[in-house]
Amino acid sequence: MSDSYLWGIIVVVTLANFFMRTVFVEAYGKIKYPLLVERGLRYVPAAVLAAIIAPAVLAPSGQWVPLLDNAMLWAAMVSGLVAWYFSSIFRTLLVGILLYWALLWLGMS
Amino acid sequence: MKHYHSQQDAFWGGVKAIIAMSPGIVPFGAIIGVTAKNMDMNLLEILAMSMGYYAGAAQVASLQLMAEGALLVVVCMTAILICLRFGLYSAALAPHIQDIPRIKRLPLLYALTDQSFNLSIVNYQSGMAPAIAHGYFIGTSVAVWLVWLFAILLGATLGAAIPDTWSLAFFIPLMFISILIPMLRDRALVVAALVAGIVTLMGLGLPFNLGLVLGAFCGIFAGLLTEHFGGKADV
Repeated sequence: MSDSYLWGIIVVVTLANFFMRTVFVEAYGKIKYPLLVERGLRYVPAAVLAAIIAPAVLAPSGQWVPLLDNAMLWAAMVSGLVAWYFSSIFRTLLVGILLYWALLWLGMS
Repeated sequence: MKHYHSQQDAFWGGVKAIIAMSPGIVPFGAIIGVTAKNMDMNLLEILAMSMGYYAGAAQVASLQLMAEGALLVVVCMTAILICLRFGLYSAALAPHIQDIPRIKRLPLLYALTDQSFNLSIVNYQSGMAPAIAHGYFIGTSVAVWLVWLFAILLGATLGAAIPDTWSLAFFIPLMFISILIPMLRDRALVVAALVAGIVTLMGLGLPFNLGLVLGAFCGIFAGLLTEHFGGKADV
């Protein structure tokens, strides 16, 4: 791996990420967004988070795990209930990981 | 939603939320540190990449592609596509943080993450006093930054001493579940999340991680459609 290759990548992605993180805040008020876009922003957090969670639980590393044998899926569903009733990050993580380890120990994958 | 009496109070509330999440953040960062170390990157390179990208999923993808010797263009494209969601985050935050002076706003936006954004946007959207909501947002941002770089350094120095039999990878989706579920306050939001998840799964085979981008956009659109047909009532 050459220096110019590595640093080239670091510089390009750093600048691109900084641009994406700042652009819409800095351009706010200077450009007028269509109403649809403005209303759509309400759904950004839920949609992006679900798009991160679904493959991580159902197909980690790109491979589908059979549903009934998927310890992550069952642990994720129970921890989802915990998150719904308690809105507590700590309890959600605790229940999720303990159940996950228990299911692995019982032979799920 | 919690109530805070002052900006400082809210700041520490944000810090506490991130500390509760650190079992998800630390192993993720540590794994990246280990991987980069094993690719013979030195500490300066590891830190520059981690601070510059400041995006775990994109960094993992880049390291993987770099190890395979992928073209520079392909590595950059993949990382940028994975980070497109930051553009969405920035657009959603835009109306709420205009009163923060630019000199503070830019570093704060540089430090935008899934955790800090998704924890903080709820406060802004539900009408918390801006000064208090800013305090919370700044608290989460500072805490993620410190925890994340600490984790990278930990991985880069400890190396392969971290056992993978602990299956720590599951902490990452768990962390996001703990943010997502309380967020689903009405039917349109539930539909947005379901459609986003399903479309992302259908797009698993797509190159450059495009499935995530496609899934997110379909989810947002599905949320809008549901809202249009009267689905904004409580679940």
